[in-house]
Amino acid sequence: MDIGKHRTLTATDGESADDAFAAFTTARLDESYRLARLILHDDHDAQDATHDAFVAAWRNRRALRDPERANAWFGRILVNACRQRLRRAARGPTAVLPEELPAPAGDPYRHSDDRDAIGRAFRTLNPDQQIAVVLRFYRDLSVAEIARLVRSPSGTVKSRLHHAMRQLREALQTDGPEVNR
Amino acid sequence: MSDRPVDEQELERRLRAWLHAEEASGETVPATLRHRVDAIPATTQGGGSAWHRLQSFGAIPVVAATVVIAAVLTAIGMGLLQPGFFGTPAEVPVTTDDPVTMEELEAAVDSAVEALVEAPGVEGYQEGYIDEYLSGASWFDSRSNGDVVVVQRTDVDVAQTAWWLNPSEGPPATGRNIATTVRVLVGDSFYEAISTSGQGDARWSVTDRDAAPRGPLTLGLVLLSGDDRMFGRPAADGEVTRERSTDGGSVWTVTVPERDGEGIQRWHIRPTGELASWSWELVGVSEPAELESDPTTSGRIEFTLLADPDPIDAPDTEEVLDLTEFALPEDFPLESGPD
Repeated sequence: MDIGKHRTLTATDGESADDAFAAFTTARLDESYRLARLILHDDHDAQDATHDAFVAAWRNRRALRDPERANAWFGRILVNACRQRLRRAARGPTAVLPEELPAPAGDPYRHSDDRDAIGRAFRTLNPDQQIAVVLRFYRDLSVAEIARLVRSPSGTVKSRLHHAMRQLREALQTDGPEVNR
Repeated sequence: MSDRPVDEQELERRLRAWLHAEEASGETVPATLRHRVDAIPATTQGGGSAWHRLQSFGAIPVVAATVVIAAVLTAIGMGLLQPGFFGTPAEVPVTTDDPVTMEELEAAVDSAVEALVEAPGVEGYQEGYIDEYLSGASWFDSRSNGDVVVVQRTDVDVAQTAWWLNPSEGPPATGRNIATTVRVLVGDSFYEAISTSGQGDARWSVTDRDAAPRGPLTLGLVLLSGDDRMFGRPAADGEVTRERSTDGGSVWTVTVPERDGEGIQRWHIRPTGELASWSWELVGVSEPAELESDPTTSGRIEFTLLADPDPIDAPDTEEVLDLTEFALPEDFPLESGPD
């Protein structure tokens, strides 16, 4: 996954480790936060997961021997941070979602029942399925690219996507009108 | 309810539209997050985020024990270590460095684990003791694509009879009831065979990989997967030291009070940066563990990085379990007794 620019954590000549890290985060923070927010659907969790991922990157920067792999390396850290939060949430008390989720102001889809329906359906997926769906349909990654990122066989990723799509279809047929076609 | 089925292309289109609308509706990176990330180099040295949130004190071995308990209770077979087992030649510390902090230890261990995670394959061995009795041993062989073989042996009389509540009596038996569990994850499939002393041949069952236990297959893999960590929080009165090992790597040691004695953990990091072993033991602890507590008194895990491993093959489900098909260490303990 190509999160951010091709900026590594390796300090160049005359650059401190802090400077290298600052450049690394500058190149990746926006996109990382957006991805975390899509996976987690919670601003605070997305902030924490993004922060945790950068903390892990900072702590483990010496383990990154090949700067060319920085993007994939950090992408995996970020996705794993999100996954851990999703799994913790799945184990914890289940939040009761209101029937009508308030849409943020300025949202062009704020009156869209379809958005609510897809959102509700999406939240019925398990953490691994949610991650696979976001990476596939938001990041446009191939199954093989997702597999490398989440460290699972391609067949497993394919299976997760297949089951997720089937579950979404069933949920939408039960729940959701479609608008804005 | 809609009667019209949603076809694949339509669903994909709606999903993409929804995801991009969700993205558009989100705020830009909050200033607080920017500040927190900018501050990481300065603040992480004093403790990280998740680390900081666990500032209530507790001995590190208690956290480690929690991990081990999970492993045992999920029939994974992690056992407990024998006091004083440290001291294989490569691990003998020979020189003492400057004082180090818990945060430096955490960063070093995280990096050493990451070096294993990045490897094409990792082989591991772990064992555990309750007092001087070996309760379980595990061996695993993992690949970076997620395929793995795990062989676990548990001495049921030692690990599951709560004899440690009256430790002077010892376990009811040793080496008599050995449960062996073999789990293989290959491709999309999960294979499992369980053998118990005196129960005859074990046969393989095969299910979808997603049906594999969600918890750890074995403790060493939990650590590599990032699902858990070797330590969760610093102890206020813990002592951290770092010493040079004879192989040119380093040995980090944490000593913390535990009941009426001490808990000691050690990490050996090879000069090439990867984690070689993690071990821990209770020293001078005379109070027995409570029933609901983990009775482990010592344990260790050793890791070997595999640079160019062969793929893991699926077992032949038409055949009975045959442990000779796996490259188990020759001295892998707790071989099943006679049937």
